[in-house]
Amino acid sequence: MRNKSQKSEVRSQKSKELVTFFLLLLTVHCSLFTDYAYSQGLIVMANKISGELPLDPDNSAWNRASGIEIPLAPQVMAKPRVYESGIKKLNVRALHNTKEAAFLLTWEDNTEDAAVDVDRFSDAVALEFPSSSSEGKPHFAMGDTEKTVNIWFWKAAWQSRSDGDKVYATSDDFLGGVLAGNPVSEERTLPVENLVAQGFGSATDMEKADIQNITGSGKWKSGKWAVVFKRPLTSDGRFNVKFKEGSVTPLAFAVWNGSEGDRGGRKVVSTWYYVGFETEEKKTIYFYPVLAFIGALGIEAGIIMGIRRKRV
Amino acid sequence: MAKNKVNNWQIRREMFYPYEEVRPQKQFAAVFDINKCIACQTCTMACKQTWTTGRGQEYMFWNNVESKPYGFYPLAWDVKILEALGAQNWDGDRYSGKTIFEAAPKGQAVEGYLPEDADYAYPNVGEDEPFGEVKKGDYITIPHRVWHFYLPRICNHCTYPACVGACPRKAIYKREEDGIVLVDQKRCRGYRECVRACPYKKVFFNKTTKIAEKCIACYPLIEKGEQTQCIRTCIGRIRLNGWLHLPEKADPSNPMDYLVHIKKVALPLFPQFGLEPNVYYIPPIHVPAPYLRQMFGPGVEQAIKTYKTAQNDETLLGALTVFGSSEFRVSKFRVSKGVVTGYDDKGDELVKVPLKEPVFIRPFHDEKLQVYRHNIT
Ligand code: SF4
Ligand code: SF4
Repeated sequence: MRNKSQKSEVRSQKSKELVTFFLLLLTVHCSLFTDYAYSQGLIVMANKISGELPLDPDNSAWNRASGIEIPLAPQVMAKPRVYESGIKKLNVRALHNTKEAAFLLTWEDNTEDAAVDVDRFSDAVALEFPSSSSEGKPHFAMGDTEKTVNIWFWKAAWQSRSDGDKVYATSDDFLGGVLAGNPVSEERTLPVENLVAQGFGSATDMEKADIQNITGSGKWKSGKWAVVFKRPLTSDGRFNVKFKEGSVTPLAFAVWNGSEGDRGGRKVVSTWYYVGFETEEKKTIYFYPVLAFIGALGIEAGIIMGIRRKRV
Repeated sequence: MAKNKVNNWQIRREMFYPYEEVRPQKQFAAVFDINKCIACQTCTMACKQTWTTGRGQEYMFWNNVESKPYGFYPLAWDVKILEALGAQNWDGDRYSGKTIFEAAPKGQAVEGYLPEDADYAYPNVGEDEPFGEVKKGDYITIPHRVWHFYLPRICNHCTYPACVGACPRKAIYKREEDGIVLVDQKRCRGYRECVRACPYKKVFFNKTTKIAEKCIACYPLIEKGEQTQCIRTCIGRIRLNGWLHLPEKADPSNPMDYLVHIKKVALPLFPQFGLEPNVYYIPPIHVPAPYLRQMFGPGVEQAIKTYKTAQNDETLLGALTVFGSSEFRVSKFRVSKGVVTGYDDKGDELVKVPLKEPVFIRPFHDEKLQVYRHNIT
């Protein structure tokens, strides 16, 4: 269990620092803050391009997106916890074309873990956003009971579908998971899954395996994963995140390293970052939404800053 | 996950468990008499045929029978968890060591390990391999100097299931009506925390459906008042199924309560793990006590002693005689005039079995048929 008094001390100190920081900030020009946020790598810019968005991680269109690096830390909030991981960071790039949004996530991982067995787990990555129905920011760790999060999940095992193992039995009458309609058990045609969550252990698949509203694809090459997620800017359903040109939305990340036994809560995570959808208008327009998000939850911003200060 | 203090009567003390103590209205339980098991594997095949002949289940035996001390399924399951748990001391009949919940490493719900795929590859490894060597001039003593025995195993439908305690999605649940522990086939996402956590290794990962599966205690039969497939088909008539109460509420006319709480001849498997498992074993009388004590706790010697009195104890003999006598659940028994009668949940008569099989002696030469009889039974 976490030491609460210690934590709150750190928090109050952090929030004091933060108040000073905001007061200072408010006295200067808005764009200065935006520049600050950019320089600190809090915002990933979804650069606006015309034409199709790439689904292939190797597509040269990705060169037109400016990436930021996200430090990742082992998940220690809920059991089972992890304390060590070989995965320390990922790089995120984003693009939009006024109709669709695409994200490219790359991270270093020496082993490609795409096969699943009793003791073998798949590499995976996830993006997390507040659901469109969530007002303000949900808790960065899987959302909370009031505010749900929308999770886009990609899994190496679904990408390769390399289930080349010998199967001896022939009967399909015993596939409990399939008969129960468990999305994990169904034959997957897409390597991605659209989920909603409201706290640890609550991730729930929102669509049938073959009609997920997000698409994606991943490739492992010389010690590096590159995974693309793509979806229309808007999407029906109150649990889905909605984007629009000129908007800013919080987003967070998680990576699973199969060879280290990662699955479920055993993963490395980030706190909230922001994605801004580029528009021709001045970039100061991001200031207000970001301030609203951060200002409303100063303590959490304190955590973000704290983590950032340690790691950058 | 908050930690709660719960009461575990098998270790005679309170212990930590991730959830509160909530006991089901009724608890599914079984008694297996190891002395009578012949390792015919009829139970294993009955279970296999009924529940696990599908894709992804090839390697699964929800019921298995292993030879002890050298048989394991999966490989070395007991050795590994016993070693991880470290010293397990009893203070009289109170366990003073750590349960797997109390020994949980930092950040984990329980102490456990995940078997490798290959650990399941030889389900009957070590079959019939005895401990010790037969030396010239050896003769049989009780306990045997050279020994082995068969250990039939199913899920224990534990009162404090480690599988439930470790699942971060709350996808495993214990039924309120009968205490049967089930994996929700819709909610499970295949994290295998339960496979890691169950010290008896009775949750399995299905590679085809990508989720966990386990013994379901044949709940469709239980709901109809019948006994499970492995129990009703047992050739050796070593098994009995029923409802078990807490020791202070033991009902002497219920064969489970009678054998477990009153006569204390049936003991839980590795009670020190802290799960309060609900399959109880009558320990084998020919095996040296130290080995059995580690396996069944400090009550082993007394249990064997009491078991040996069965031939002169009509009630005990009666309770043991209803084993395998009916496909229905024998919830109550009564012994009278050398006959045991079994009753169902409602108190209706199910079966009558004589405590002593009648013996008929017929002449060597049959006058009527004009044949000689050979010595057959
Ligand atoms: S059917 Fe009965 S006697 Fe045969 S192996 Fe199973 S438990 Fe033992
Ligand atoms: S024996 Fe294992 S699988 Fe069965 S209830 Fe106990 S912990 Fe769960």
